[in-house]
Amino acid sequence: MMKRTLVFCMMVALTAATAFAGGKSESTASPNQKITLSIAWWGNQSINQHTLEVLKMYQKDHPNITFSPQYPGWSDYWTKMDTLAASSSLPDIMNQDYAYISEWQSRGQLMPLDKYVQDKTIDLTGVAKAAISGGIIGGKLYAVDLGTNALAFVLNTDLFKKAGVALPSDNWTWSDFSRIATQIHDKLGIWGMGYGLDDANQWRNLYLGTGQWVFSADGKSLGFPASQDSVFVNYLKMVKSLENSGSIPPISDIVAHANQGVETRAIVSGKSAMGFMWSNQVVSMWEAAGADKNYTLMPVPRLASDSQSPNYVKNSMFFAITKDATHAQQAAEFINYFTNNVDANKVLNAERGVPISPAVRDALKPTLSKPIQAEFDYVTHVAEIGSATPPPDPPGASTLQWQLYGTQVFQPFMFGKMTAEQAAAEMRTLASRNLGQ
Amino acid sequence: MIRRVNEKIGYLFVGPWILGFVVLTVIPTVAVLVLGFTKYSILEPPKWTGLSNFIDIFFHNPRYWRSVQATLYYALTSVPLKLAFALAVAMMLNTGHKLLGVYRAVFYIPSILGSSVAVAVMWRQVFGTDGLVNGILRVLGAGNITTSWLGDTRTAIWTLILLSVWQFGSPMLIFLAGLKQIPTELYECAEIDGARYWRRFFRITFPLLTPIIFFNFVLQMIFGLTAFTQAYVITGGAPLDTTNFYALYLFQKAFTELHMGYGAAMAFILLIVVALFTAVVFKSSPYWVFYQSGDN
Repeated sequence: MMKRTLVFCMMVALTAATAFAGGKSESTASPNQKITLSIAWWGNQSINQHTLEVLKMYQKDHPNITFSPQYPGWSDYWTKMDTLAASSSLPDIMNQDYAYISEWQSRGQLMPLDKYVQDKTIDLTGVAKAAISGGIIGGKLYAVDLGTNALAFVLNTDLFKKAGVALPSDNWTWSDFSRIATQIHDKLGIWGMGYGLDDANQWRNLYLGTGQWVFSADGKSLGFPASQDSVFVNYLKMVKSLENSGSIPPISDIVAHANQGVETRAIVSGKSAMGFMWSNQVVSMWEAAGADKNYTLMPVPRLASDSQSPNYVKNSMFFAITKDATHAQQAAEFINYFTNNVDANKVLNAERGVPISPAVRDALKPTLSKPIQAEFDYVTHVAEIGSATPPPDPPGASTLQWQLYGTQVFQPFMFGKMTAEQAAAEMRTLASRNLGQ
Repeated sequence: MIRRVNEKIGYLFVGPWILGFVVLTVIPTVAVLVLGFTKYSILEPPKWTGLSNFIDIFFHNPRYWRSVQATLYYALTSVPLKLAFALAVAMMLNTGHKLLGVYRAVFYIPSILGSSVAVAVMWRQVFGTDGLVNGILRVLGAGNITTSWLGDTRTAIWTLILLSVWQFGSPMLIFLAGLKQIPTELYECAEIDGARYWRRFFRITFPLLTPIIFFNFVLQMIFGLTAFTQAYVITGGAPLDTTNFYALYLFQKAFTELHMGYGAAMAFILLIVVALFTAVVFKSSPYWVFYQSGDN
């Protein structure tokens, strides 16, 4: 009888445990009550390590706060965040990106931060307007920039010297690029350029360099007329001829390397003399290649030596506070620490881009390693010669550029399934079907 | 009195499973079926759109049909190859090797590890431009070969087929068990009557194995039609959608492009197709499956 009762109780307990497992604990915090801040970001090995260190530093100064971090890789990050958004369990603080922020804000997932800036919980004194404006949508600030960034071509100066090819000038053109890539291939037998020509950013840059933007003002179609498709057509033809001459990797190789970390790029192993990446990725790339290597950063090639610069200063990524945040005040305080604390930024090493706080930048300057110095100098340079930052991408643009451009336009062209003209037309069709969705 | 208490305890034992089944399987399945008729971006509540998802899938989306083609090619190639390989190895092992146990374990290990992400990452490496396959080919004298097996439209899907066939251990074990159930008297009689090896195979072994073949075939086809992890990690659907399996395309549509309703509609269709396929195979079984108990 006793045994039966015991088993009965265990079974009830087991069923109950299954039913009630996994509840979320909520609490309104009093200053010394233990709270957990959940935070999510994307990164690579190096960024993740340094960020975790900063979290530990903050916890030491604020013993009542523990962090619950998660850091998927870039390609999984948005899938994860979408799922959390659907179940209203987004982390307190999340990484945001220019390409996605308007979509998230328009669906009410982010909390406005203006009141924290006004009462100096988040102190943005002295920060350049360009660094803040990226996070402003509809007149309200939704996200704080973690660093400024710019697209760059990275050139291995040692290999250039070995090939006897002169470094190009600042306003080099795509024909200069093509010529240089071929020369290096002829002289050294390696690829002149690595994997980056399939990046949809090239398509964006092309049109920025014509003085237009790829998206229309209403965000429902392309921002340039069909008569301007020839710009893209010529670019595609250039890429094909580079592939034919062996100056860039074959398309099957490019496809196999898509979405892999920056450490797998051809320029890291010396298989190519040039590479393409964001200026903040240069630091990780340089570390992977070896501190003894010598690289220089060049702006994106122009269409003609006197046409507009295709470069612009971009907010590399943001921190935003989500609508599910249970401790918004503490989250804001942490964002302030992340932005303005000099020791934290010494650990973070500007891997997310050049810090926006002028005090932090000045404090970091003397300690900068070669790669980071190069990054800082380059971004400052682009701020001088570059075009104005384009507006944030409209909804549907992320699908168009990062999913469809590769598989439906660039790859079919390179595999010979489409002509360049057809590829440009397909891009236009896909745009009208996907933008504004 | 005691019977009632026994019943109560019985229900309580099943309680956790029933709860899990309803909450984690039944409710999500019904939710997916309903979501197929909506437009749902996960960041906003769903909007009813009736049949528009299905109409788009069937009539306006060539990528969908390419994905169906890729999935069918994969399933209809890898499953027969895998089963043939499994049966062949099972027959070889059935000759009473001394190290049978060792071989069995060694061949079975890929099955356990095979659908893991770790193996998929390794497989990427193996077929990469500087990977194991090219390394071996270079040693064998293929020059400085740098073929990207994963990026070539003709070979990418075969890297995935090979990965599936490599996991033959699981069906092989089941075939081994089935082979052991065939009474040896049948073989002895056949030998006495003068039947040669292949005659014995096609007249005795194969027919008596049909229940196992049936089981393995249905199971492996279901795995093949719903394959996801390998395609996601190894090729990502590239190049040119040749490895864009149904489950992977569904995932992209739902989670990357934020068209959850569309993905749900695709899932609905997949469920019906797999159910139909299983029903057809089951219905056809009396015509080709022979059970030793003498039903046929």
